[in-house]
Amino acid sequence: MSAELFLDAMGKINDTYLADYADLKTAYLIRKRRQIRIFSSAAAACVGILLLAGAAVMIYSGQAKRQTADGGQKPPQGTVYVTEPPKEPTTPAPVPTESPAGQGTPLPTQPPVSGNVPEIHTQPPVLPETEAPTRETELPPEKDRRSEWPCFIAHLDAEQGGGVTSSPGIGGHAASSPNGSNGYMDDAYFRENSMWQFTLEYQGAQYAARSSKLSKDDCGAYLQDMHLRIREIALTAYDFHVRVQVYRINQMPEDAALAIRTEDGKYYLMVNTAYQPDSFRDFAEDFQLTEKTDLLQIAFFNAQGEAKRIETADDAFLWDLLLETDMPLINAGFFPSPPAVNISFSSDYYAFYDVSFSLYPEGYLYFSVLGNRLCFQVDSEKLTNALMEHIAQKNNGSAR
Amino acid sequence: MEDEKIVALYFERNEDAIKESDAKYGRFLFSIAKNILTDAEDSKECVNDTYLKAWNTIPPSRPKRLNLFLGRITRYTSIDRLRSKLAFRQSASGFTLALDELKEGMLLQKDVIAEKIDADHLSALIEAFLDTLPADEKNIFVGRYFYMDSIREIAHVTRFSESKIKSCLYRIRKELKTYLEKEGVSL
Repeated sequence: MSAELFLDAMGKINDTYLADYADLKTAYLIRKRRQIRIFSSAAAACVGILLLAGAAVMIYSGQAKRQTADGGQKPPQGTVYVTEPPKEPTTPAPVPTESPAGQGTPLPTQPPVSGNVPEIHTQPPVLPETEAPTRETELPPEKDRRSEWPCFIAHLDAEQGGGVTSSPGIGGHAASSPNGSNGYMDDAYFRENSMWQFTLEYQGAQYAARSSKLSKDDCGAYLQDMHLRIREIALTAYDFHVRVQVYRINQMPEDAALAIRTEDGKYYLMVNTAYQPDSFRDFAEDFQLTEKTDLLQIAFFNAQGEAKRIETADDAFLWDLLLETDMPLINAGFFPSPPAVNISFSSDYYAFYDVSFSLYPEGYLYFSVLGNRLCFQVDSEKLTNALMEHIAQKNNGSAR
Repeated sequence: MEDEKIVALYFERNEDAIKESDAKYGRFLFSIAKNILTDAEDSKECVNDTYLKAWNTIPPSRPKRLNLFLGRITRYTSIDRLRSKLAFRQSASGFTLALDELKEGMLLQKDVIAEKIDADHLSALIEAFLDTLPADEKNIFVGRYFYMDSIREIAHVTRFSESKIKSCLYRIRKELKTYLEKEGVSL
């Protein structure tokens, strides 16, 4: 057998033998490219910080020299003092490394050290001794920003490409969210706790990871090994697969959610994106809402859309009301009026995605949990009145 | 862009198909070509040839996995180019190194022996042999002898150590030799 024959034969083997390695290699190339990009970003950040630090050192040393020459104290940064020059030159004394508080004279005219327009004073303000600028107060030591770099890099990542983080051993996510105070989620926390845009097809249904990590205790029976489809959206929009183990979640039906165990031994909750309960009661039971969520706030809206918000942790009455009569699921997605009531929860279990529902005057209870749109038919007026009455009677919330 | 959409662009004779193919699989294809040819310029040309061949082949072909389809074309094209350019002279490419391993007492005792079987038959035997291997070993073998990746590259891709890859390949070659002999293939 010749080498050529062997190579020809290898070239003819079926795609099924090639697919796994091709996927692995594509994922590797993406990882490699991402690492290069992250290192480039980090290097750029390092250079920037070094330049800034260098500039700061130069400015400081210039000021220190002037201060030493004048033997005086330095005014606050960004302020220029016009003073008369010393009448008689003084013999330079041994220069202390720090100006004693309250001693010395202000600096002569100095160029502005920052981009701000300096204020011009003909006389320096008299500073109390305790506020006299010392070396420490004038130029605080450069803050060590190295600990901030990972976050910085993660933000770059999120901004540049829809985000790819190294959720352990896996791909990444787009970290854009309205929840973050700066427009982005806390990437470090997110990357540690969550997965995003990953889908798993299990028995014909598609499950999406939209949630935080689960503990092992939350997981029930092992179901099977599968490949989790990860969509790389940052660079290539390429789908690749990671092997995971699929588990049931304790007290949760398979058609509602599943757990997966990734290669690094972490568990994640995957929600069936086509989950359709028969009624609100089924939904609440399936997702164990009464146990897994904490009531945060109830907002009542008037006809003009003005809100009165009640912050309360007393959710027992709320669940009693909601579960008192069973509300059937209906397919409604358009609401002509603004909501009458909006109720929001926090949940460690279903972290990050808001768990909230809105009550519409037309008789809809619209629930948003983990990105699933579920709408139940409800006697809206009755429920709204009952809520208001309860809060008024018990006075157990603080209104804003 | 998803493979199906890119293939649809080929069917529409839309030149964006090539642009999208390159954006998505350019690096992958380049690595295949580079493993065989070692020369970056040659590899780029090979990748471009791949797009041209894909353009001429789709339609009528409608590949389900575009990366495999394009990768296969790149491999053929690169090997052809290497054959014509170097006429199988020794060069330190992944291709020739992979061949050397095969020659070293395992599979290929001589380069030129009267072929008693054709490539299709041998391919079927290799597939049958691969079916007997665990998934990891299958990947290592395919990585080495289809994609011509270096040991180090395979180690990175599969996240195994280089020594494990080496020992694994050694064992697989030995097993393949035994298997082929058992199937009546003279080596």
